[in-house]
This record gives sequence, structure tokens and C-alpha cells, in this order.
Amino acid sequence: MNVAFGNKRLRDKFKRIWFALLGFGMLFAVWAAITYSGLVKPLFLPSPSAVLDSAVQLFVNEQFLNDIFVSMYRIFGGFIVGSILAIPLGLLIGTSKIVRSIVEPLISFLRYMPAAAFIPLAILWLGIGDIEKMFIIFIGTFPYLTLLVADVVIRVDKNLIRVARSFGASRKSVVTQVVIPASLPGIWDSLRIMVGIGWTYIIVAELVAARSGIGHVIIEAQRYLLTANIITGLIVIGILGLVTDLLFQYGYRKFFPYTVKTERL
Amino acid sequence: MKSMLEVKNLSRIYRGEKHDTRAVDNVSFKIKEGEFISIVGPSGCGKTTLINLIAGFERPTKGKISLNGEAVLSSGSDRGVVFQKYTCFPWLTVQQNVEFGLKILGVTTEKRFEIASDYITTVGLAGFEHEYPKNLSGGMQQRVALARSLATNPSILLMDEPFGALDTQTRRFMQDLLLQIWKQTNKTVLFVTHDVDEAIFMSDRVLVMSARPGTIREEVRVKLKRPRNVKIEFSPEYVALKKKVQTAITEESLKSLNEPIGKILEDLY
Repeated sequence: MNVAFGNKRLRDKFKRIWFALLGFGMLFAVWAAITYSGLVKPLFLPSPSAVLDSAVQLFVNEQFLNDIFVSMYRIFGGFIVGSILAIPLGLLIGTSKIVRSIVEPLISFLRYMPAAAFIPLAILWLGIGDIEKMFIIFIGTFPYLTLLVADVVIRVDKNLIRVARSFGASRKSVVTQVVIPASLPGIWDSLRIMVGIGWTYIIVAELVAARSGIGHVIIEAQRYLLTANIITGLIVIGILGLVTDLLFQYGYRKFFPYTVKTERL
Repeated sequence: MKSMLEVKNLSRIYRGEKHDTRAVDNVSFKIKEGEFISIVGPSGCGKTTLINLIAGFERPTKGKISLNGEAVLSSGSDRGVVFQKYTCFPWLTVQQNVEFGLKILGVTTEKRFEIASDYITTVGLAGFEHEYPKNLSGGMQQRVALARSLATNPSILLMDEPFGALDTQTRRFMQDLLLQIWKQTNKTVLFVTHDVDEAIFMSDRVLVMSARPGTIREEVRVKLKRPRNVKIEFSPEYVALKKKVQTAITEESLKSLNEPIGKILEDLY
């Protein structure tokens, strides 16, 4: 019976992969149809083969891989600093009413300021190097992540906290033994969501005053009307985002095997 | 035997923006050591509030609670609490869940392991030590919660509709198991339920609460012989007790309904 169950799960997994590929296939088919038929001019949307050509060109002759690494470095730099500050702050907001009343309005206020609007200020303060780009990622992710973490913490099942209290647990024990472990899966999911948003901000940061990075390649391509390069950049971002997401999902299953959350792709 | 838990003139009022809610109103009762007491009453009568007050999760607006002669001012390991909701820590195995309270109390690792293993066996979960709660049925999860509460050796077990979410068969099984453990460990139990049969079947005394504001409306002594089994439910004594308790609850339920609907139902009865 166990074996049959395992087979069904495996079958379901394959089915999901097939459906995912089908989705991509349909998008690709539409793209191929409207470009090869000449319906859309190559200037606006180049054909798949033209994009492939320019991708090869970018990787082989123009060190595109280097740009990709630079972008990744900036994202993870800004994101890690943001997380290191946001997770404890979120925990504090979620567990202390006083901290919550002081910090939460402040963070909410900061959250409404678009990260892109900080670019001029960031350049003024930090120049146009990696630190400035990381700062933009930080500004774009830190406030949201803090509020997401705080929300996860606030939603911890009150009954679990009561169980700990019924054994005479101190405030500190309640936080370390119940609130933190109960919040970890939710915090992990929040990180997953925010890393995705980090990918959108890196391009914004690199569109202005950058000498490297995927965003820089895209803006250069626009200047010289190399539409295929723009498409290549977009596809690469999509793939990197997808891979990051899959890694986070894999990590979720590895770190939190006890959760009832259903298995995903 | 002397009384171990004493509740005196206990009231709890929730302050609201428009009006205050009197959840528990002037409740007094005593429980002797080793007694099994049930509290029944219509929904929303303040049963859970009463448990929360005794557990020390909430402070009373008025009145006093004392346990073994000492005033109850906050929560503590002298009272074990079992909730209706499944409250196993999902990130801990059965063994770790049962050890949780002992860990909080600073019991050494070996001692913890030993005590927890004993109680896991007591609740019939030997062999499941390394399972996570997600792999357990509702009844098994409640057994883990029961073992976890027993492990720290509290003077009294406070149980808030612990079997309310279980199906009838599992519930029967859990009732028998609890009575068995109660007899074995000589624990005092305060058991909240809305199930009249459960209350009578388990208890030495049944306290019937009134509709909100909740007071003790009636105290029914259950003198049925122990050990009890399902058959006692057909005995005339049992039927008489059930009639008494059920009538009281029905009357209180009607009071708590809106006036017009209450009238209609009253006519129907």
C-alpha cells in the first residue's frame, strides 16, 4: 500500500512538471508564431533564434556571466544585510507591544517610499558602486520583510504559548522555545517572497548609473536598439528568480520536514 | 480529605467599548484532592474563562483562587492544562513534546528522557516517540498533550473540552484511558465539557453553569460505582442524573438565546 502511495506521489510530481513545461511551451509557441510569421517586427520583438544568437554573443564575447554574478552579488549583499536586521526587528515588533508601537508606524511610513526614489540620494551618499546598489535592494526589501516577519510572529498560535506558560516558562523561554521555532517556517517563506522582490529592485538600481550588471546590459541594449539583448536579460532574470525560488522550496522541505504543508514542485 | 483547589466569589468582566461582558459571575466551589469534577454548561457560559483563570492565563476581576492553600497569581507547573485545540509543538517529536515542560523546569536530560518515556507508555504511545505530530491522529495528539501535562507532575489537571474535537469512538477510548490514568496517578481533575454523558460518566461531581453571566447553578453528585463502563448509561440512577443535568442545561441554553426564539423553543418543549 505504501508503495502504491509512493507511486501516486511520483506520478503527481511528473504531472506537475509536465504541466509546467506545457505552460512554458505555449508561451514559446506564441512567441515563435508571431515573430517567424513576420507579424511583429524584429525591432520590437526578435525571434527565438535571434535571441539565442544574441545570448551566445553576450555570454561568449561580452562577459555576460560577469554581469550576472555582479547582479547576484549585489542582491544577496543587500538582501542578507536587510534580513539580518529585519528578522530580529520583526521578532521584537511581534513580541513586544512597546517596540511595536514605536517601530511599526515608522516602518509602515518607510514602506510607502518607493525604493527607486532613493536612487538619487543613494548616489549622493554612497557613489555609484556596489554599495549603492545594495542599499537600494536593502531599502526595497527591509521594511517589507520586517513587517512580514512581525506578522508571522504575531500569528503564532496563542495556545502553544499558553502551553509553555502553563509550565511556568519565563518570557524569554516562551520566545526562544515557542515563538521562534513556531515562526521559522513562516520567516523562511517571507525570505523567499522578498528575494523575488530583490530581483526586481536590482534591475531598477542598475538602470541608473551602473557600469555592470544585468540591468546595465539591458539599458545599454536599449540605447543601441539591441532588442534581442533585452529579451536575453529578461529571460536570464526569470530563470535566476525561478532557481532561487526552487532552492528556497527545497530548503523549506529540508529544514521543516515536520510541517504539514503539501509538497510542491 | 481537605480541599486542594478553592475558588471563591470569582468574577471576570471583559471591558468593551460599548458595554462590558460579565463572563464569569461570583463563582465559588471547592475541589478535594483526588476528585474528578466536571463543569458543564451552555456554550458561551464562561467555562473556558473559568479554566483560564484557574490556569493563571487571565487575572480575575474579583475573587480568589487558591491551590493547596496558596493564592494563584499566575500560571505555573502545579497546574497541568490540556486544551481542546491540538497543541503539540509541530517541530518537536512525541518524545520532545512530552519532555517540553520538564525542560522548562530545568530537569536533567537523562531524567527528562526517563520520565517522558514512562508517560508515553502510560498513554499508549510507545513506539511513536520519534514521530512528528503531523503523523498522528487527533486522539494520539491529545494523548501526547496529556502525557506532556502529566510529566511535570501537577497537583491538578485542568482540561478544557479535551475530547471535543474527536469522533465518538476515539472519545470513548480517551475517556476510559483518562479514568485509568486518573486512578493510577491519584490526580485531581477539573474537566470542562459540553457533553452531559461525558460529564456524568467521568465525574464524582458535575457543576452545571448558568448562561452568561456564568455562575454555578447546580451541583450534581455522581455516586455511580467505579470502575464504570458504557453499561451504566442504561441504569436508572444514570438516567435520573442525566435528566437532572440535561434539564438544567436546556433551561440555561434557552435563556441565552434571543427572547423571541427562546419563546418558540420553550413552547415546543
